[in-house]
Amino acid sequence: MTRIATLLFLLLLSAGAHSAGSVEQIGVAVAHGNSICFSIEHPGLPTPAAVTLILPDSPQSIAQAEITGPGPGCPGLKNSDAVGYKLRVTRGHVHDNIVMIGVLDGEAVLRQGRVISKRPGNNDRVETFRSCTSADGVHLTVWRGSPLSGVRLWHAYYYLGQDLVPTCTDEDTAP
Amino acid sequence: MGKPSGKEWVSKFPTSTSLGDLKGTFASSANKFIDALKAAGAKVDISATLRPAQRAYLMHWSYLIAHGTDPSKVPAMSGVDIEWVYKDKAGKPDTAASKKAAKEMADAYDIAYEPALKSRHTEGAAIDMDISWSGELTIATADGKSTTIKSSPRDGGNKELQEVGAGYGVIKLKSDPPHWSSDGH
Repeated sequence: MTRIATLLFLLLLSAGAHSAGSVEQIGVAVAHGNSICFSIEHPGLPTPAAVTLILPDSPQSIAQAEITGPGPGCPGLKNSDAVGYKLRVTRGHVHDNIVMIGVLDGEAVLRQGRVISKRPGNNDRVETFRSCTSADGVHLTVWRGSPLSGVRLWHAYYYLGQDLVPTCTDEDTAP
Repeated sequence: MGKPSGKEWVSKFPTSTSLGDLKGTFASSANKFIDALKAAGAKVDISATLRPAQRAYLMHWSYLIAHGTDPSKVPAMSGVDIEWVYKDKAGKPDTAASKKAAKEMADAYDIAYEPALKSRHTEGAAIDMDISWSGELTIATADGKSTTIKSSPRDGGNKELQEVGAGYGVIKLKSDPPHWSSDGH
């Protein structure tokens, strides 16, 4: 009986991990001048794969982009296995040097100044987005449910190399 | 009458990557820790040591003026002969021109988030560095002994390495992977 319960628990855990495993659909993008870098742990993405760009600062906004080819990746993403691509905005606006969350597939809508997203394979669960600053960089997070009180699905740290006014909480910055 | 604000200021007071620019006891602590890391075969890549207080002042106030702070209210800083207030032909403060110049300056610094005015970097008491190694790391500790680190990750996020750093007086800031300082801030 105990073995069956353990097996069931492992199966449930595996299902949860699969859901959270779709985080390979999430990456980091930064616009600078006429170019936009995109770094994501997802090699071999075709041109022109669609990417939804989420500007997570308040008020949040959304832009649409597509991959135009391989690129050097975003320089502030340290110690990462991410692959670099170049992006082109196809709809909406982005702002220079704002660190954005890039999501493959999925639908994102603006609701009362916040971006809400559903992605394929995530059982129609609502996801929300957040960014905050620490001493030298930006922490980006994706949450199932509300930011900080929901389940954190994805996290990235982006080093800016500037002294910043910190706004992050422990929930944002935990490894 | 100082030099008007604008992007020409951005190249002044650059961020240092030199250990020689660290201050006080932290300079000695950081040098000893990095010497131990290198002797153990670790790779150390330094991104920043001293960020001059003048640079922090210029970044902080250019950002705030660009976001609406009255330039005439900005305190002066010794050694930074900048004029934040532009004037029109009649000699009256020109808020729009002052804000435009400050925004150009903030953009040239690549600022998108509010810059801090003070930090351990401006005090010369912090260092940003990427540390990595392969296999096991046998490193000298501050008490003259040595320890072998077998655990992961093999970078600055390693808890055992952070204990070694603390022994030297180089404390890890948890929120920022590359940042170590005199007190963990």
